[in-house]
Amino acid sequence: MKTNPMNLPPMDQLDPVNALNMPETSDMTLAMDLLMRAKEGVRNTANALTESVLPQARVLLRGQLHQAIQLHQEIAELMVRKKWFHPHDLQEQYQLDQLSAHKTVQIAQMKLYPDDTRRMGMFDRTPDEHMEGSQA
Amino acid sequence: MSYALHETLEVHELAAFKTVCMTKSKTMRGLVSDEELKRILQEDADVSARQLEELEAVLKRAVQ
Repeated sequence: MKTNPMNLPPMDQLDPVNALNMPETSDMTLAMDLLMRAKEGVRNTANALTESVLPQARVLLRGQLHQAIQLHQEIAELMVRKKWFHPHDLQEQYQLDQLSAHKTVQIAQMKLYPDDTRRMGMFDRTPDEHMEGSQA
Repeated sequence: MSYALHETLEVHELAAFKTVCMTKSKTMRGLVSDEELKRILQEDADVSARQLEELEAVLKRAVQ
């Protein structure tokens, strides 16, 4: 049985109405992805910095930490300016999150691939078959 | 003075993460339409490439 937690109608991926505002929507998603990577980068670099002792390594990591923070600031400011991210307006942010959650559920329910993905006898052996297990 | 093992591992982890980030930024750049977002993604790819070179130098010295 299909899971449908929000009782949404299934989305037809060929219907042009679903392509409305697509460039804007995908920009928003990719910007969010970059924001998350920027945050993770700051955390990872800071973690590495607190684990290192050698002065050269610390200088290098401190420089990279500053660059990571700079990147995070840039992308966060862009997203606030473009109204893709509302840190001061929780109501607005909630609406946006609901919208993207609905879209995601609808995309997850789309049937994008055929049921039968057998390769009909093609590629019947793996390319690294002649190697030992640990080298493959 | 040489690097301690845990430092080397930490740098290795960071380098792996940076590689993923750079690849992603470079790929995504072709998909976005907003000019400013494009610029930031390109900048991230460039900066990450430079940082990877720095990390690579550290790793080279660590394995010696």
